[in-house]
Formats: sequence, C-alpha cells, structure tokens
Amino acid sequence: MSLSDDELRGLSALLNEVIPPSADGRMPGAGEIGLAPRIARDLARQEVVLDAVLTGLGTLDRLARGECGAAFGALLAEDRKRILAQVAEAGTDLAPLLAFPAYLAYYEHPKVLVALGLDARPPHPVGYELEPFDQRLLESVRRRARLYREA
Amino acid sequence: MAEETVDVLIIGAGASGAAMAWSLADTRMRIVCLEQGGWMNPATYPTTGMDWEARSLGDFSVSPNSRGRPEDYPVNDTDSPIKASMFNAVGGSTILYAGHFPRLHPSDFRTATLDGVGADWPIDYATLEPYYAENDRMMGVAGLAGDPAYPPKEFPLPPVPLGKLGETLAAGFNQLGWHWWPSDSAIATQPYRGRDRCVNLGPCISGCSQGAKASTDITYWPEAVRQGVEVRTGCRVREILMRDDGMADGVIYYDAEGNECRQRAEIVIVACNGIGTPRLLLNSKSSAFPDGIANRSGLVGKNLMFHPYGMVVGFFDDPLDGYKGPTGCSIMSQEFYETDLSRGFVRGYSFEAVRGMGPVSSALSGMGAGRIPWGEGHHEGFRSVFNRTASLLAICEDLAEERNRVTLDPELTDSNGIPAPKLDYRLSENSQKMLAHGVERAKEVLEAAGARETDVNSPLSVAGWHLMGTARMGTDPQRSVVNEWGRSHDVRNLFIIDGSIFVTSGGVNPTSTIQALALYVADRMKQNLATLFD
Repeated sequence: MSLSDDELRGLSALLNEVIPPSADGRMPGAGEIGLAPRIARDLARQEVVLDAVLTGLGTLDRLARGECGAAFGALLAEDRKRILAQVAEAGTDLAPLLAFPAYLAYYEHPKVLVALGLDARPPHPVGYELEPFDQRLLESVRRRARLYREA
Repeated sequence: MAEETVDVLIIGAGASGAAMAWSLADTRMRIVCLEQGGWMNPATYPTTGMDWEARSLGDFSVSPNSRGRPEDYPVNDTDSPIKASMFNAVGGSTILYAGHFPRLHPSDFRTATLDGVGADWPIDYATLEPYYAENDRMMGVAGLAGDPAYPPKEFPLPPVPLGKLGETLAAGFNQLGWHWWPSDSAIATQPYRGRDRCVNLGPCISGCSQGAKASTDITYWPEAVRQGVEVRTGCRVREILMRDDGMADGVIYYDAEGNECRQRAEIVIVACNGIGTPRLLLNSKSSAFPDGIANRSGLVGKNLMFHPYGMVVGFFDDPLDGYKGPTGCSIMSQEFYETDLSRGFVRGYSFEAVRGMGPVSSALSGMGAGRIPWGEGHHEGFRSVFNRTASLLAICEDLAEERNRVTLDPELTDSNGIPAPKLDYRLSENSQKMLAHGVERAKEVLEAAGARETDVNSPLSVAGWHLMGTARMGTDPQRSVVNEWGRSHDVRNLFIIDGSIFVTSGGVNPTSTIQALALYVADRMKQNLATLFD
C-alpha cells in the first residue's frame, strides 16, 4: 500500500515530533531528511501498524483542517503540537508506533551520522584504527598467585 | 547406479563438524558433510552497508525464530527465560559468534570431586590441552600468555587492542584489585593463514566482512575441502536410520529442492549443536529405539545447560570510542570463577566486557531503557548514551538438571515437516544467586571505572548462544549418552561431537572446548580405526 502525497507530508510532520530538530540546530528533525517513504515501506510489513498510523493521520488531518483550515502536514509547529495533544488525549498516540522505525531509519541516515561527528559510511572496509594497549596496566594482575585450581 | 555408502557422514558444518572433517581428512576416507544452510558470502554481510544495524535485527538476527531464513528451523522457547540463538550455514553459529574464545578451567572437569555438584567428565583438562592448542593454531587465536587464571598457554597472535573502553574498564578492575586479562579472541590481529587482519569494524556478531574473525567456513572448511571432504549444502537431515545389526545405516535428508534422499555411511557423526542434536536423535525412532536413537539412558535432550547471563551497562561522562573494535572481545575477568561458598553459591562466573553500540542500537536500547525519549529531550538523551556506555556480562556456570530439557514439539515443524525442538528450562536457585552476585560486582567495577549510572538486564533473555549437555559424555551407559570419546553407548558407529556432550558448562564461552573435543574425538577415532566398533 503506498501513501498519498498528503499522507507522506503528514507522516513527515509527525516524524518531526518524534525526533524534532535539536535546539542548537545541529541535528535535523526526522521529518526533514526524507525518511517518510522509507518508514512507510517499513510499516507496510506490519499491516495492523500501518492501518493504525494511517487512521491516526486521517484523524489529525481532519482536526487540522477543521480547526486551522490546512492539512496537518502544512501546520506550523505550535498548531501541530496542539492537534497532536488533542488526539493523544483522546487515546490515539502515534509516537509509540513510529518511534522504533523512526529511530532505526534516522540513525543510519548519512546526514545524521555526519551531524553526530561520525563518518557517513558502513564499518567495512575502512574500519577503525586502535593502538595496542599499554601492558603496564597488567602489572598488578601478573603479580597475583595462581587463581585456578589444579584438578 | 548403486547407492554409494560413504565412510564418514558428518551432520552439521559448524564449529565441531568442521574440526572433525579437517582432522579425519588425512585418513583419505570418503567423508561427506550434510549442512542445512549454505556457504556465506562475507561481501554481503551487514557491515558492508549503511543498514548494518537494522540487518542485525532482521536477516542476521541471532534468533532463528526472528530471522526465519529458509534454512532455519523454529525453536519453541516459550517455556524458557533464555531464548535460543544459533545460525545455520557452513560455519554454523561461528558466523555470528563474538569470537570470545576462553578455555574451560581444569576444575570444570571435576566439579563432583571438588565441589560436590554436577558430575566429573571422563576426561580432564590435560587430555584436551594439546587439542586446545591445535585448535588455537587452526582458528588463529589472539591472546596474551601469562594469565594467572589459567595453566600456561601460548597464542599464535597478539591480543586485540583494548581501546579506550577496555583500558577504562581495566583501570576499574585494578582499582578493586580484581583479576582481568585481555580476552582470548578467535580474531586475526595480524594477517594469518590467508585471512586479513581485523580492522576493528565493531559488530562481529553479524558476520565478519573482513574475514578476520575465525568462522569455520574460512578456517577449517577450505582445508578440509582441499583434502577431499565433500560438503553438501541445503541438506536437512530428518532422521538417522538403523540397520538390523544395531548399527547406524545412514540418514534420510531433504535436499535444497525438497527431494527426500538417503545417504548410507559406515560412520555417522552428529554435530548439530545442543538443541539440533537431541532434536535429530529424538526424531530418529525405530523398533530398536522407540524413544529416539542412542537414548536407552533416557538422557537425550535432558540436562540442557545455557550460560545464564547478567548484563550491566555503565554510563560514562566521557566518550569511550566503544563502537570501534570487536564487540565481545576486549577484556575478561575470572576473579569469581572458582568456588567460594562464602559467596552463597557453588561454582562461579566470568566477566566479559562488551564494547559500545552503534547509533541505531544505542537509540533503540536507550528507548527500551527509558533513557532516550521521543519528542522533547530526545537529543539530550541520545548524547548521554551513544559512545558513553561500556557493559559487563556475568557468564554464569549452569549446573546440569534433568528437568531442563529439549523435547519434540507436538505441533511445530520446520519447512520440511520435521518436528521442531521445544525447550523447557528454569533457572536454578544457585544460578539466581550467582547472577545476583555477578550483577552487584559488575556495578562495583563499572563505578570504579567511572560510570555515573548503571542499568541491569538479568537474566539476559537473548543470550541462548551456548547450548550444552543434552547428550552428555560419561563412562556409565545409564548416566550418559556417549562414552569418553564421543561414541554412542548404544550404537557403536554413531558419534556426537558438539556441545551436547558437555558434562558441565563452566563459566566461559564454549566454542574453544567444543572444537578441542571434536579434534580429540577425531584423534581417538584415528588411533582406533581397526577396532572402532568393538
């Protein structure tokens, strides 16, 4: 099942609430880096969860249009939070459903890795260099008597 | 064409099957190994892609139930607080293991004599010592001689670098005056026998793309195959057949296309791990063995031992660079390994240090622990966790109990319709006390090393990596399944060589001992070829 453009915009807005931009501007929000289509694909593997998210997005959109005259994905942050709070109070909190796929997709995204000060690459083939350790750390252990029992 | 009878049929191409095949290859016997998985391609392992952490939860999960690859079989572990972990491929679970490679202690072979618990092994440390050493050479084990926790031993490779994380923890152990030592690691720290050196990728437990970690598909198997051993992949064995004279006849298996095939053999060797082996034996029913082949003792599947794991995560203020370096190999401690009854339990445990996690795993585990919320405070939470954790695992000795067992599930089957294994397992009071002790001592070390806070996960449910005891060895056919060199008491051409034959579990990762045992059994078979079935 593919999401409409409106639903994807709504999902992006929602993702920005799950992982918002950092106050210092270093870290992007999860909705700002184009994760919505990938997360929609991940959610599609669990139809029940996708249905719940789509139903929730529909509710958010109806409320947004009724109260603010615009789609949920087009609201200002303040209005978005207000609408979300209303829906959560009514018992539909979408953040728990989205947190796992959002965390998964966000923290492997190249822009996020760079923002964290990491190289935007998989571990292989470059890996990391580590120096051999200073064996003087073991001096006190070497001085100890035998710890094992003869048998 | 007449049906071929091979000299030796090995079932399972993992840690022990590979060592056995390599050792027997010099006899020039016709040797075939049936493996339900396939050859792995390290170029496709998760660490070659940006989604490496996600894949470790998917097609490279340690749980066969989560992974669900076609070659996997399900394990009903709902009645066990510890869930089964394994991998099915040429190389078996060494594909995903951490490569932490300590040996058992001499006392582990004599727990009844020394401590009045469990049973003594019919062999001892000195018997296995040359096979441990040979296995270390074949696998390419990195370590440092001089550890006071062990009888003297040498290593073919220098130890893995500890990194800032390992050195921080080592300082904590030193402050308390407790033992620690660089881990014995089945990881090539220098180029070794055609393998490249470790480049500290981090997640060894989703397969080593570099080929530095010693999985048996790149250590024993290439040499065994060069010497003529045949590995047939995609072949899942349903049952071992019996001849009228009380000897094993061979097996029925399903090939990769699902065709039912038969393979006859003069010698059948089972190497399917501590769950897969009893499953196969219990599925091999005949008029001679209505309760499963080699099961006159009634002990097949019983005495299942895991290692109960207590995990304590320390949170530090400074970055530890813990995502660099082999996940499970840096330092270990055996301060609490040998029995001291004043601790309130018998036998003991090791500590294994675990390096930090990547960003995705940090975020997900932080969310699970309530440390990384969604919405407000998310980034602050993440910064307090990522690259600032170091963990200690207390690997506790598990005492054998018959109530802990593998049976056949009455309903669950694999894709070939073969009954799946069911686990019934409970933690003993001794294990619970040992876990509690390990958790408290781990907190002390982490705090001494500078941790500002700790989280506890004990017993660690996903830690069913070590599968032991379900076809134990011994000299008494009433109290054991195989004799002191792995031969079934009941069927003289049937051998078992994996963790099933362990009598006690020790408090260390078992692969080193599993392989040393396989080499020892192979040597005994070669020494006794003329009288093997007497």
